[in-house]
Amino acid sequence: MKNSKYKITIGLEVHAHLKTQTKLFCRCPNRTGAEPNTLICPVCTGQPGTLPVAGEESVLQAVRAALALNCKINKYSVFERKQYFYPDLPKNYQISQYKLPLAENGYIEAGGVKIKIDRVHMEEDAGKLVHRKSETLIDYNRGGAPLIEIVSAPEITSPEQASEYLKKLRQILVYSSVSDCDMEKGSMRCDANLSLNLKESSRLGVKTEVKNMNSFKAVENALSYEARRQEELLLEGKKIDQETRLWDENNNRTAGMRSKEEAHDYRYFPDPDLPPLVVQETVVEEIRKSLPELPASKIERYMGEMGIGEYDARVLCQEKEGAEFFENAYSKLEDKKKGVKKLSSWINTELKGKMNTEGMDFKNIQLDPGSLAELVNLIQSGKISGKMAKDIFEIMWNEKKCPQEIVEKRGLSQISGEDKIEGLCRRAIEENPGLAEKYLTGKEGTIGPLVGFVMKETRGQANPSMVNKKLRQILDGKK
Amino acid sequence: MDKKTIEKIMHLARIELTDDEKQEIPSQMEKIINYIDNLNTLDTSGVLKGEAVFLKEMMLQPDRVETFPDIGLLTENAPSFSEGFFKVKKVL
Ligand SMILES: [Zn+2]
Repeated sequence: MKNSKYKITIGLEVHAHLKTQTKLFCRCPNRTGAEPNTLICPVCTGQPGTLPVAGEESVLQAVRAALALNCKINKYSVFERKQYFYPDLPKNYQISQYKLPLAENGYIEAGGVKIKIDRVHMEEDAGKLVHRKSETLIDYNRGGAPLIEIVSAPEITSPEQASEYLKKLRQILVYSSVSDCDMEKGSMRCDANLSLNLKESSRLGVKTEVKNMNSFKAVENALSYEARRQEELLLEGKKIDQETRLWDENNNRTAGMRSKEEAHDYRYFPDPDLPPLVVQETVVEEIRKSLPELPASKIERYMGEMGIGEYDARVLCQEKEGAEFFENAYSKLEDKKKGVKKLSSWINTELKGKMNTEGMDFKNIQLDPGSLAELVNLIQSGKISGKMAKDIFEIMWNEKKCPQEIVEKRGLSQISGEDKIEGLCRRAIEENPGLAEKYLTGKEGTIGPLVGFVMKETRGQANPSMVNKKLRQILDGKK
Repeated sequence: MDKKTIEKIMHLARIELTDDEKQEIPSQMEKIINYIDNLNTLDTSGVLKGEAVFLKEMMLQPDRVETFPDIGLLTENAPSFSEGFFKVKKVL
């Protein structure tokens, strides 16, 4: 859409499952993976005469999420009935929030831009349908599970930015421990509204709603497709139909969905079974205080206090557990100022590489942050070389031993005795008179092969920077 | 309210009515709707939007699982339940 005369406007509606023990309005277990219709009760199957009672933990987690998204919490919010006829709702209405949501006016920073969040509200999930040839099967295990819906303002200007926004949103919700946000498993779902309008015009065009996107990549692809589709129609002078379209992952396109019966008028009204939800200021403040440090502030601190580059800081903060691992190891560095860059590159490159190949993550690795710090300490003090550190790291990973122990047991300590190194350097010069000659005539690059000679002689156990220094000292003395 | 509207509502609510009932229902529905029109004439300008008739705030329940002991009671009245699923005619 780079050279297009149209600009894109996207708004995202994201549903995230809360990590509570119970469902939103009953005490049934809030979990997945059980046999169908075994986690149900009279309330979540909509039996006549039952009454919903909201779960405290759902409310607290929703407030927590909203605060992490910089929202203002409404002291009073109201649950309403959103009515539609579809078998995934046993009551023929979904309890949601409409006019007075739990929270409003937040924002997320994505790709250097603040994207406004209009509202965060609570609602219950619907059941799951399985469509067969002649019948539809219904499982109400998920029906009534607690969700938050996060609605962005229509301020997102490209599919890439939409994906960036989602990744940030996911990171914040996972950091705040309110949701797993696993798009593939359905604990985070995203619907998007997209419209095009002429660049010089401020009036928004007709929008379509895109659903059924099950990964960040799918969101980006679906929205790119939809923007192109709309652009083609507009260029041909055709009209855009306001409709819901489903992303078809296999065929890489969106397709119009036949509309649900009476889909467009939900006839919201306050649920008479539920009094207004009151969230006291003291509760809000308590939750605000208990929020963990969020990635944006961590990144700033890593860059400012610790002097880490922005890219490395971002990578360290991708996951909460990774950032915790880093901070734990950092606290055990002997020379924090000098060691921190080495430590962050060890985590971001060696450790993450290893975790990737072995299919592990920070939640299940056996490696102790303290021993990685110790490894960096050994490198910094010159006791081992970078190359040796890689070998030791392998052993640490496989045998779960601490580096000091490995070094002692295997005699891997680096040769750093002055005399020994000086002897080796003199030999290197004697045996490579041509290289030495060139150095003396000003071609200082020949120092490299000379260092290499010593390293080879010691099977990598000498400290290269010390060898380099010594060689120069000897050669410069001959000038 | 004509017969067609009544039949549509019956279909949406999945209920069946006898012919006699179909005769009775329109006037009852109209009474309800007229009552709502009646309510609409009230001046509610001083009332907060979303404000409920309750004087009390919501009570919340603790996050402790209580499994419902007799799921059979929930499934036996369903028009169709088998293989662990509620079943309806194909929808999409
Ligand atoms: Zn239940």
